[in-house]
Amino acid sequence: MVNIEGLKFGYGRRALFDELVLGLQPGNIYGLLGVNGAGKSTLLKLISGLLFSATGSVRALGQDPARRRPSFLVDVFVLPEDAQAPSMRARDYIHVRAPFYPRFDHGALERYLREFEVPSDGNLAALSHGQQKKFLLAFGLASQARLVLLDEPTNGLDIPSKSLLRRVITEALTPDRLFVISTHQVRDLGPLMDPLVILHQGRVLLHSTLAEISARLRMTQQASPPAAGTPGLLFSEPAVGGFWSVWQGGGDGPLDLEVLFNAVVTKPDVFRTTFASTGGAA
Amino acid sequence: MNEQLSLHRVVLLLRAELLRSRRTWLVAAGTAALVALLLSSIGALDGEVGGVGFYRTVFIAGLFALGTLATSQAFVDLHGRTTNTAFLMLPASALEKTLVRLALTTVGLILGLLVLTTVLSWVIEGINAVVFGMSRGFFVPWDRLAWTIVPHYLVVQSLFFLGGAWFRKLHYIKTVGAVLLIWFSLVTAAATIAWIVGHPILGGEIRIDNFDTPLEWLTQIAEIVYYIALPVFCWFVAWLRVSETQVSHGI
Repeated sequence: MVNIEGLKFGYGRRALFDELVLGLQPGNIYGLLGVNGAGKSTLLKLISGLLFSATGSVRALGQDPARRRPSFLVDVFVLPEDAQAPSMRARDYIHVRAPFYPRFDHGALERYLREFEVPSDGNLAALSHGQQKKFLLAFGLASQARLVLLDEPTNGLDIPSKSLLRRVITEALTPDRLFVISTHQVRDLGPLMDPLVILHQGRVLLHSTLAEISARLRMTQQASPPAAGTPGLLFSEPAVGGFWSVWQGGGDGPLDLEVLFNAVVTKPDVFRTTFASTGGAA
Repeated sequence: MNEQLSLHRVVLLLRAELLRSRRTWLVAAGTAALVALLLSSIGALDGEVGGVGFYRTVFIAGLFALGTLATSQAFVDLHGRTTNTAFLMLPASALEKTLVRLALTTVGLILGLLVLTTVLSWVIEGINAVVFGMSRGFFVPWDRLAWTIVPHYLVVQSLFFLGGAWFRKLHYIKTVGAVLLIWFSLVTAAATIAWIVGHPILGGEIRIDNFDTPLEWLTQIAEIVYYIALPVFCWFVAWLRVSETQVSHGI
């Protein structure tokens, strides 16, 4: 559904992506992770046609996103991190924008708004940032767009809304639909995201399903740090109440995405080797 | 699906745009009407102001003042950091988005002002008749002299339309600045050429009466450039600008 090959992109003289290669398949909720400035938001903008690449190829839904054709735009929904609804009544917003989407599901919109507890009347600008975000997300999901790109969707949401968001997105996933969620809040959205894509220094450092990761890595939490050089030890870091360690070889233990992320970006070469055999790491 | 121009999407865009900007238009129309009413009242006391000429002036002033202001703001959401995503991702082509805003700031504004001025003349002259016992004539939408100004407005509008699409901030001021700069450059270049051609060192001496036919021809070309080529060029470049705008432009 999304294919990126040989992508080079940067702002001014600063190169952000260097020969980036990435393929995303429908029926999944991808978690896009990376440190600040890794290019997560930029990648979403390139996929949606909000930014153009000079070198390399970006294809989404079989089209060049930069052309921004109406047939492409009806199938794409982008929720930016700083999403802001216009100053107009919610009813008017729905009235004028919904007809642009041929498959718009008004019933689903009402249901999402009810679940998110967002009023379907009144001025959108008067809503809190979190409420505006939930309204726009509900609208985007109801548009039935097949490609849904969410940039830090939990920012500004209260705790109940975060769990609600996870449920709504899970329910909205269909075999022909693709969600890409860029986030730093791995604890908020961790249970939702599978596969994971980790961007680092202009490249895809990890691109694997949780099952593939579990088959190759296991994590342990213990009171004291393992001795350096312990066979199979890939990474260890202090955590509340002890130490998290990442070991080579699969296991049934829990996967902490924050620890995994720290491990991968701290020792990129080690993890590149670990996942190279499956093609899970680039 | 027609990817470039669909009447259905144009109608949807028009509806969305009117709904989005209706409050601004109402405030602008109300302000213009209030100013006209005040001027008319003051003039009626002096017995100087009123009649078709006054309303024609109201129409022309409104056209250029409101028109250039509204046009320079036509693409404000294209460049807004929090609004550009919604503008660019709305399922319509760049051509349709450009055409709708062009239509609203040309046809829409001209027709709206014609109606507003006509209604205003009825109201004001009605008040004048009741209060002062005199009426100085009504404005009609087909006023010939008012319409002779419209082509000039379209030329000016096209410049502000391009400025609105091109500049990210301060669209009005930057457009005025850019136009003045280009105008000054052209005048300087023309004066320089005229000086060089007419300078005795080249053995030349410009005599206007020797160039009757070429000047007539040049005037016709200049008119075509002014009335047709310039507006079309500006609108075309504005469309290209909308097509190639990326969100980084708004950040």
